[in-house]
Amino acid sequence: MRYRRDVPPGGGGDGDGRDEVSEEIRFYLEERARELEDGGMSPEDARREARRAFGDVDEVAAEVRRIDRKGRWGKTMKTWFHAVSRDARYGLRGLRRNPAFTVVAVLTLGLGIGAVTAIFSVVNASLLRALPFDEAEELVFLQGAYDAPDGPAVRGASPPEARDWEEMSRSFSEVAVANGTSFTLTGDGPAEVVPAERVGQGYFDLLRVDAALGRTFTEEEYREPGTHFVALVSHDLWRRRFGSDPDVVGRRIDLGGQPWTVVGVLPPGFHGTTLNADLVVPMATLGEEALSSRGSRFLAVVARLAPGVDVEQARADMDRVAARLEAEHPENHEDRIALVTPARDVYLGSTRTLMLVILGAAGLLLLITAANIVNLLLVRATAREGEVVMRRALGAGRARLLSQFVTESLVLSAMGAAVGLVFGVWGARALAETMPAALLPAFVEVRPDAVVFLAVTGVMALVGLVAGLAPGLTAARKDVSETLRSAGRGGGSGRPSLQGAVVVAEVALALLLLVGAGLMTRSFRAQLAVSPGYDFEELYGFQLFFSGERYESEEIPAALAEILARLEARPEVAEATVMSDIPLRGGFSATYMWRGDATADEDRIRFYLHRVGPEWFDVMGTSVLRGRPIESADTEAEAQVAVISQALADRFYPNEDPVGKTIFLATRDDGGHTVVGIAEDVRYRDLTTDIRGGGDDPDVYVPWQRFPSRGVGIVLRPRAGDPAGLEKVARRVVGDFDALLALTGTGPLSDDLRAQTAQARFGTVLLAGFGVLAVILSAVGLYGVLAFTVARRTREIAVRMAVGAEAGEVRRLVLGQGMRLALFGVVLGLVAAFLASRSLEAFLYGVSPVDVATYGVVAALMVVVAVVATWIPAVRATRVDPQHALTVE
Amino acid sequence: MSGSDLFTGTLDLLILRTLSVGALHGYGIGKAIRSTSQGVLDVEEGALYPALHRLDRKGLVCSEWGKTETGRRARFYRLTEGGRRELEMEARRWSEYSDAVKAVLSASERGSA
Repeated sequence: MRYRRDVPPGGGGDGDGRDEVSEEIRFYLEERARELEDGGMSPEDARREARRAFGDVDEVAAEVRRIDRKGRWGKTMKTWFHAVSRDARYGLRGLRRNPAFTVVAVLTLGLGIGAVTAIFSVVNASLLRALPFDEAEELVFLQGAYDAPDGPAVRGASPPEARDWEEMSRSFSEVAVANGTSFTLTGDGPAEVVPAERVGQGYFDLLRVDAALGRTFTEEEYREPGTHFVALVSHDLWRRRFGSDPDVVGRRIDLGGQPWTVVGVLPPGFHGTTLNADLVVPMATLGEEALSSRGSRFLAVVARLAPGVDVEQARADMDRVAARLEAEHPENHEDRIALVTPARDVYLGSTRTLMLVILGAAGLLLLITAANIVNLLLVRATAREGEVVMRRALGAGRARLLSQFVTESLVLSAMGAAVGLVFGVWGARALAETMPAALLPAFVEVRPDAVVFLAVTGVMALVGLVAGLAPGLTAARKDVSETLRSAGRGGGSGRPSLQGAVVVAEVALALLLLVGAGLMTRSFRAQLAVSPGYDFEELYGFQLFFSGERYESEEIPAALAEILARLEARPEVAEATVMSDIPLRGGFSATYMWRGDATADEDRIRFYLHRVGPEWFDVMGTSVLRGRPIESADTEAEAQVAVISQALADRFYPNEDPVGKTIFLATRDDGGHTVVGIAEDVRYRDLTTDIRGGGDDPDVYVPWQRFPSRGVGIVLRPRAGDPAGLEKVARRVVGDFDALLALTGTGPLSDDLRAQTAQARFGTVLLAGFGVLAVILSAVGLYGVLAFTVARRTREIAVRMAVGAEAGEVRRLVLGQGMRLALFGVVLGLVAAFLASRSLEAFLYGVSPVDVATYGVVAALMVVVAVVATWIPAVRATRVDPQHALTVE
Repeated sequence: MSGSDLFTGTLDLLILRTLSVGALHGYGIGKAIRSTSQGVLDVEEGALYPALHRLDRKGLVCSEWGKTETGRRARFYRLTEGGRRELEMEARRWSEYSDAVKAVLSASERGSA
């Protein structure tokens, strides 16, 4: 039976079932009565008979209502479920039919979600996770520093200094000292260099840590120097080396040839304030001498803020203490200050800014991804406008259409999320592995963050929903005939201005990222280009410590000479030399020197002293610019000669030849040293400080025999091949000489350089990666918008061509539109980059944040990309067949 | 199958069968059933409505309000995909059943012969 649809009684929707049921039954009775009337009955009889044949009307009505009530919910659920799965299937089919769109959309979503999730997971881990200490928010480090012209230089505290700090300060409830070191552990397995920490009294109480097995140290063990050789082992070491032996307490172990006693095992996960100590020993084991030297600055001091005291107050307090110490001990505390730094900043601070920059970049990428999705969906929705309108004309409900769009959008989001999950997990892992250790401290565990993933996916789904729905909503509302007509004309709505704006924003953001990446790259390359002043690619170095227990001071030179001789006798080794400290490998401290007989303060310069063996300048490859290097003859005789660095020559002797002049290095009465040569500047402490401009203190070289010490560095030049191969040789020779002499700080010198640039390298690579992604995404966006525009304006183009426009003209028309958008975006991006560049300033070396060359190159690149992206739609436009386009539809 | 089950099953089946030809309102369905069964299935006509609504709830039919040719308002019922499938299944079952019955009867006839 044919019928026209109508609104149910009561208005619609679920309505009032009561009315519906009554009306339905009433209809039946009336029709039945009419049938009977036609059969010959009187109207009254017919009505009565109809009622009788029907049965109990009220009962039937009640039952029907009962059924309806029960069924309404279940039916709604079922219909809804069927509708959704049908929509999903339909949506999938639609997506399959448009593979290009689907692939691009899913990849875009996946890349965006994955990249952002990975980054957020890592940054979340390193910035926000807790430090591995109880109540870590109250912990601060008191860092002894030298108040240098361009900022405080942290150098450590001396034992008497730390004691004074504790006594004189008023801001801390607990104070303790620590010092990172290492021991050679022998016995119970192969000789192993174990990182360790020396700690002072109160250390364990301060950190709220107790031994898991055995005990920590007693008061005597802290107080009596050089007497109690006791140690605590870490849980890891206990498991690894001692097989989790429950009787390890009281066991004798061999450290550096000396017997020590294990008194306890530390709890799992505790590795001291250095975060990697496997052994903890009392500071007192260093001996009386080391602990009473006020100038020997090697301690880290950790403290807990007293209740009610904040960091600022503690800083003011320590300024007062430092001033008092400077007054009381001028020779040792001149320009010495104490910095109060929260533990969090010490462990994570250097990375915070870089992390925030990276986070910012990830945020930009997210925006670009969202913009692309919006565009893609807008384009697609417009393309389907004709279809939507047709279906509406054929009777599809508006709600149905909308729900279909919603489902499609969700299916797309689900697919994108799946891809994003894979990228995110893989990305987080890859990042954690490639991140330099400085950026990601050992205790931080990177886990792909589920919350972030869900949040990002949710945002994207929402964006997709809105973008997918908007055209659907308007299309559904529009007048059918008008839309059909305009769709037929090859027109249709589509808000080109919105899409254009989105693309402009995308291009701007991509440009912003690229500028950041470009600047970082230049900075990184500038760092790499810094000549460190020695042949870092070709040398291998290690450090030895001649402990007082086994070597008297007089024995050291002979021992060294023997070791060097044996090393040079090896075929793999071409040359060997000795020095007090290896560049970039730490172990430095500065003091003052005077020029000539001057007594005025202006004639005093702070400098770093390096004691070097014969042939040092040759082996290291450091050029001597004037005069001569330190020679073997110098080390034999008691000649007091010195070679100064170029920076020192510039500062002390700007207008004269320093060679032949006398300088006083330690006290006034040692007769002074004669300057015999000027050497090129060597980068001992970092790559980027401006040595020549006075940003750091210069260096002076004296023969090895002057001011001897127990710690030495040895550098080897291989006869051929990779310097890393010398590791085995070095260990062998030293081990043969003295099995208990520990090698520390081993490795090719190039490693130190790489570590210096690690942070810059990481940041650069990451930003560059983002930049590339951003460019690709915005190119896709640009292409999409233009393709859509061409499709929309087919008729107009056809008319133009029919009227005689050349292909070139049409192409120029499209290109013009595309380039206009792109250029707008580029300009916007350049302005944004200019404004935002300040934030990168801290990371840039050798390049200004508003470096014109970088901005120019990036802008040119974007323009080229834009041209490429617009080319295809432009060419397609020229292929429009006027006849076909104008007659179709 | 109990008597009433058989009965309701039959009524449902008849409704589905009737709707398989096209959409109808409740009165039209009733009239069609009465005419095709030639009065054999003489039943309280009101029982039609609970049956219809039950089928609607089960999703075998769906309904919506419309206007008849004469302009009167009525609720029209239509067969759904599920209803169509159910109809085929039931029809098959019935014919299998009646074949079985026939076979039994003819066998016993032969047997008793």
